[in-house]
Amino acid sequence: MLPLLSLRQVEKSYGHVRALRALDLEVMPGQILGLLGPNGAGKSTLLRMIMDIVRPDAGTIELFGQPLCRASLERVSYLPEERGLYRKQSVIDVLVYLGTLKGQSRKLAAQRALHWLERVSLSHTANLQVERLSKGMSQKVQLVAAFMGEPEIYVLDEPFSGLDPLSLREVRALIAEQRALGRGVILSTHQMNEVEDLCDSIALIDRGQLLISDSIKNVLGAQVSNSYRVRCLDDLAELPQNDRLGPLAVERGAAPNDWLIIPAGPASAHEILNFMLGAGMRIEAFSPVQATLEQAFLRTLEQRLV
Amino acid sequence: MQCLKVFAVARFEFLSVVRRWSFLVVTVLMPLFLGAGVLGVGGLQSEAFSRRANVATTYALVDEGRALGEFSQERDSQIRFVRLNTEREARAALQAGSLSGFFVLPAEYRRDGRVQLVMLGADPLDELSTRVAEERLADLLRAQLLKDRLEPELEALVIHPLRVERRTLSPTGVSGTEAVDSGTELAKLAVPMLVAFLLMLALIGTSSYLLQGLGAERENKVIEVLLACARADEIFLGKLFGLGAAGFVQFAVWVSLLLVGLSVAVFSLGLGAFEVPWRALFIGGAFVPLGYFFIGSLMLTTGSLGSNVRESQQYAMIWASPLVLPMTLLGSVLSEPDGRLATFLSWFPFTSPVALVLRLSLKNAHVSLWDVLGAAGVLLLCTWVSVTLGARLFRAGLLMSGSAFSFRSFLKKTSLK
Repeated sequence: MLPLLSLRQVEKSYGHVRALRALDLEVMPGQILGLLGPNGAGKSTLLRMIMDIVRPDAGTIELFGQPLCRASLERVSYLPEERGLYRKQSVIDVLVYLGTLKGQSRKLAAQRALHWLERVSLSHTANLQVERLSKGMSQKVQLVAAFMGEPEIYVLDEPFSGLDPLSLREVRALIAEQRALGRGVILSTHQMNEVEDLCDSIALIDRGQLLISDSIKNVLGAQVSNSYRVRCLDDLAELPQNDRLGPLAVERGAAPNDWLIIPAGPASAHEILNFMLGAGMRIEAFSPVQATLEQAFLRTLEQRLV
Repeated sequence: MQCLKVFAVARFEFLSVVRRWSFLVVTVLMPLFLGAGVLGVGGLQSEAFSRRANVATTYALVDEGRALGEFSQERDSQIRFVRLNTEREARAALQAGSLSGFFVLPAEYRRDGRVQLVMLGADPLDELSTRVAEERLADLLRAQLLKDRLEPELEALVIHPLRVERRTLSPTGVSGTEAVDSGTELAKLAVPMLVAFLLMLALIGTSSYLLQGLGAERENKVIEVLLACARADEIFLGKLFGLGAAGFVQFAVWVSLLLVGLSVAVFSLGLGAFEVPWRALFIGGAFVPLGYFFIGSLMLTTGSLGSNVRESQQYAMIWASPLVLPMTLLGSVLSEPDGRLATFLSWFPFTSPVALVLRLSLKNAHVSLWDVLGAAGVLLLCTWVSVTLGARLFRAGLLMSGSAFSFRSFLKKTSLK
């Protein structure tokens, strides 16, 4: 299957600052790619580059198997990081204007605008001036502008910022719906839980360099857990220390008989379990704690700093 | 380039501007306020002048040397002389406010011609009447000095050697001696000046809207959404067309109101037939859009280099200053409408719309077809260059958003380097 978007060896510098270094990425149809990275990592530059707002110094960007061009950009919708709408205009006027710029007739743009406003529960705001909307509402109107294009690929920079939990759920569902329709999505966000729930794969960049590019499953699977959840009928706080395993931190869990063991050294699960059984503890359950994406993110960046 | 996108941007920009309250107020109410102000101030001024004219024209003559014999007052003269016996009397009358001043002709006047004029301080508004009084007194003295020494005709000629009769000669050689109606002439002169002034105002005003909009779009990053939807040159042209149309509407309303107002004023004051300078308006109508595109594209391009509205306006105002040039050199253009300066201003693309409208409205200017076509050609060429290059530089300027202006990176982004 042909990727919707592919970047090969893309580089970009601003003066002496290298914003992106030899970056490779792909987005396939029906795939949601989460773009992660600390502030200033180069995420927004990358998204702007995909939209031809910033041009790369080196490397190639292809959309739908063709080098980036204006015609192919007609099939892409973009939500920039810093939101801006015409404050003195009505919501419907702004949406129709942006729709006509995407090549839609005024009638079609108005129809689509009303349809998508309804989908995000904002039908009542159609004739309101933009300046009368709350931050979250403005955010949803901008998302409507992106959805209205009904493109083949979405480029969304921080799509969840400023949304309340209800709106967040709505927007997440809409993005998932687009994936189900075979459309590709590349989104940049700092909300790890959203990425974990919604995305199929992630690309972690830091200081312009791609550190991780893999599926969520693989990224989480590759993370070595360093803590274990234990259900034990005995008091684990009385577990003696073992010189060979090194210090074991023991914390009480939320439920009675639940414990959390965090080894300071490189002890394996097998060794820890054997040691507890050998100490006469009545163990009912023992499982490694699943690493979160946030942990993976932080661990990768920490390792890079070391 | 997609014309539909250019049209979409133009439509949006046009409607955004014409729906603004500030635009409606400036377009409709400003000329009315201005007209009311001009009429009000003018009326008050003329009343003040006429009041002053009635009281400030009596001068006393203290003839100590008996230089003046009997004299008669001219019937239609603005200056009236009264004879007083002593300087003391004259001084008291001046201080009482019944005189504008008094002349003292000393006993030795016939020896050196010296005469003293005494007034209450130096008032510039009295200067004109004082000069007329001096001339009138000189006439009286000449008549007295020449009395019975010359033939009456010669004596009259010596006293008044110049009686000018003005004649006019049209370009076709037909001459006439019709009386010049200063009011109508003033109205004819007022039309080109006001049209040129309004044109300049409309150009600057529209360009200002252009920059405000662009600056705001840059500040809130709407420009990124636009650039993701359309090419920079489509946005650039759309903005120029849309705001140009708004400016043209404003200019048309102003000129219409001006013509109506002047017609009413001329007819109500009985100043005779009022000629509308149609030729200037028609040719000016073609130069206005060209001039707007030229100046507007330059302003938009330089405005795109600023990182906020204020900075954009500061950059762009470089181009507004040449617009006022014909107005600052108005005296030269009016006195020599076919002179080198006026011709240069008509061909110089920054000033040609205003200068040509001015010259074409003047009756004594002979603007040839070659002049009009040449100026139009130069302006057209410059407009084409500025729009083409401007669209290219516009994108580069926008992409430098947030960063300090660097000529090197600017050139790099325009792909000129």
